[in-house]
Amino acid sequence: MKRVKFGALAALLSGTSILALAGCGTTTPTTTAAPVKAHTLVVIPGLNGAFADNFNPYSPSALSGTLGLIYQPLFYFNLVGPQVYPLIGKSYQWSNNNRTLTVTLRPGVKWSNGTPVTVNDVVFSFNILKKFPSLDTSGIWTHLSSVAASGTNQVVFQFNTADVPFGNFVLGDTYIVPAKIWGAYTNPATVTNPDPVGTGPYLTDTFTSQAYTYKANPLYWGGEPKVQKLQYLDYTGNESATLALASGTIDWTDLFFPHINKVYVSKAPQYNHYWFSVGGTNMLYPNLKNPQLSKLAVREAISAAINRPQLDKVGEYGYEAPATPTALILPPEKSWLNPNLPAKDSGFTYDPNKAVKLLEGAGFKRNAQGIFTSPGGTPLSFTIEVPTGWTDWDTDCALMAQDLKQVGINATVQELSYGAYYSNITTGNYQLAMSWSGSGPTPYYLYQSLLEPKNAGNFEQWSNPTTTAALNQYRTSSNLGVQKQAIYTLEKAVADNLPAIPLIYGATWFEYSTKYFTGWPTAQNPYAQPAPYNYPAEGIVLAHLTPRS
Amino acid sequence: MRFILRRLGFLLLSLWAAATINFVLPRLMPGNPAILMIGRFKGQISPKALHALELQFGVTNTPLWSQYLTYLNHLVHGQWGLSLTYYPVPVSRIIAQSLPWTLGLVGVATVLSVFIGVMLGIFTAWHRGGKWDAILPTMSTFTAALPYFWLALILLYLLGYLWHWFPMAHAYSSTLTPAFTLPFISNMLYHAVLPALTIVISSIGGWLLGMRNNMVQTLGEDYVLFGEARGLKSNRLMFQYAARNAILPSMTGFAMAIGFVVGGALLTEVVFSYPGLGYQLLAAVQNEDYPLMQGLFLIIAFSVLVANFLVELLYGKLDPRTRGGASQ
Repeated sequence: MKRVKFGALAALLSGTSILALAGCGTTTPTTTAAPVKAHTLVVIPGLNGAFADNFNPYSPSALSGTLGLIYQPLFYFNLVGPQVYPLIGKSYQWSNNNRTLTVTLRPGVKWSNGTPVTVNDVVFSFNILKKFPSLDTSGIWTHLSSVAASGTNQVVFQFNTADVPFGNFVLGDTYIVPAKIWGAYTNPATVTNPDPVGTGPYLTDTFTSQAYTYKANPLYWGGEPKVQKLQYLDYTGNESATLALASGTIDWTDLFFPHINKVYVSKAPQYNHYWFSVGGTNMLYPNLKNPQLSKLAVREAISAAINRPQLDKVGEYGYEAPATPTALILPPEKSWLNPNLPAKDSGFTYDPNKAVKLLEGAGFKRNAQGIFTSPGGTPLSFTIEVPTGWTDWDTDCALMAQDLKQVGINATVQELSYGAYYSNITTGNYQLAMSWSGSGPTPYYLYQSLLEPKNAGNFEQWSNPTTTAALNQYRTSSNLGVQKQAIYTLEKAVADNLPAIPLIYGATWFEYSTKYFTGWPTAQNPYAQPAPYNYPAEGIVLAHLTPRS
Repeated sequence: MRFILRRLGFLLLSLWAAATINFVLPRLMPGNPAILMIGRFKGQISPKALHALELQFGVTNTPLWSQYLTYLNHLVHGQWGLSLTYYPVPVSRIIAQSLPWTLGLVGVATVLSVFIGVMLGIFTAWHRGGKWDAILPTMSTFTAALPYFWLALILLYLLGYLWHWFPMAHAYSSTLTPAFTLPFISNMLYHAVLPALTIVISSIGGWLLGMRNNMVQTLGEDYVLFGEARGLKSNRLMFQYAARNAILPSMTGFAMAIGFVVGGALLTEVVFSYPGLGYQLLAAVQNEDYPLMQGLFLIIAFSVLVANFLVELLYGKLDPRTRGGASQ
């Protein structure tokens, strides 16, 4: 009896370990290559479940590096600095009252299988989005009427109406794929594309569900990158990822964790660095269809009552600076700031007394509980909606609710699942909600998302002829002076009317080690968006790096 | 035979119920997978992408009952669909990649902890009132009360980060490629030590205590006394007479535990970034990944039910009373 039991146990044990071995899902066999000369650059591309080998450029869950390292758009527009990088494109020009966009292609670009990139590949990469609307995540074909080749090195885009800023989605957000390969698929959305052929600086090398690697593309048009090998590691837990980072085995990542100076930088101050660039403006969106929130005085009172430096220090560990009244993403967009902006519009001041005065001045009276009540008898009582589990935002909202209670506005935080939260804010079924802003290479993208009537990002349901006209003025012009005037108008409108209440700047997490590689983007030299998930910028960053000899 | 058929019928009924609950529950959650995908990117994809994503994921407005029929039909034919979290990777491939790791780690750890726990339980009960009987059960109550993930974090920090005794993450060194070679297998076992230790330490106490208490009770029975009077060897008395009877409740517990193995020790796997099913389950729920969730829950339900079914059959052998006189 005893012996039988032992036997069964042994069988079970060996059985399970065989299973464990059988399942190490690999697709690429190792080539036992020559001894490694150069150090491999190790990346943690955020927290993920086990990797699945998906290099489909149309899949939102494609592996990190698919867009940027393998596939490239025509241009890259830096969102944290002024640079525009020509990639597969060489130059572009607007004509026909800004309704025609002509792109000249870079000569001599090759696919990684050796065949040249032709003008037909580029045209195909746009037409495939028309044929399969499920791939058109930027909505390219809501604005384009046709794409055609002109000669052997030019592509001509016809727009339905003049929309210069939308050109960026055409130029910078549509990835160029080889027509020969992608034309053969009956449904490109469902292809996992394990052996991608692209134009970017890297080629896929090995893959396991725990780590995958890229190697330098010798055919790359920009010259073979100096960093020869990249390894992307899978981490599911913040704890083990943070400890790996602290122990110095990781070169590049985008993790969020508290007390970064103590946990990371202090472990090797000469090598360990971080730069949390500003990626957007986090705002408190008031539902303007709410009779109380539609009053400017109430929004101004809410804004004055919020202690923004406290949100930064307590809610965000000092990583996200207070935003400014124009909502402009600063410092990246500082060249767009109106030089004659009144001082009051260049920064918020925390002033609870002003909030009280504003409400009293608008005819609100405190009731027995000390809550302000409108002349019509409605108390100022709101819920603030925020996705549950987004711990920093949850803290921010709790802090704001306290601030508001202090000045006599009753606010309660409602933490919702993301699905419920998102459907509430997009259908106008909320009172106050914290959310992010749109962003782009110029302030237009934030303002368009925020202020364009019936737009997906216009959660507050703002509609105003002045702002709509200014957006239109920007859109129809490719003249920088005209565009700046339009932005100045929008800055003033936002600062004066608070369609949404800017809170703090959203940070892009980015930690890097200079132990083996130098040349990373920094606050002083923001040549590209820095995080490994910022596609296609990660290809630009890697091309700027040099291994230490 | 009728006993087996009856159990089999019950098994099928439970599977159908599990599949149905699987279908209904996720769809009661607010939002849809395309919305959550946009949330996952925290602003990197514009809200404009929603329409395209809904098209990709096949978010439809067809009535639930027709979706349900399609779902059952696909299920019967073994089509689990494409995961939405990892779109367009098939659910079956994700499960096939992760399941073996979980089975290996959690399965072996569970078997080890049951085996050691039960053996120690038998030992302490046999020497009840002795020195070990004072130490082990007390320690067990302590370790059994430790939360898995907390223990995992402590082990990770001390043994992994501070003292460098064990690797801090993953199932094997990322420089290796899985292969049937000695270096790889030893590397894999080395990586499994910390997560396995977490599971064993925090679950062993329960088995020890349960077994000890049952065993103490059985040892008080007359037939054990009679056996002792007949002069049987203490080993035979301990295992054949007492333990065989005392182990029955632990067997049921073991069946449940084995069934739940495939669910992964979620927190342990997440803390150690172990590529098992634990994190996939979490991700599937967070992203409303219906197909992946359905696949995973179905596997869990299936293995719990099958493990129970097998143990019930075994029970019928060990303890003829449970056959309820219906057999033969």
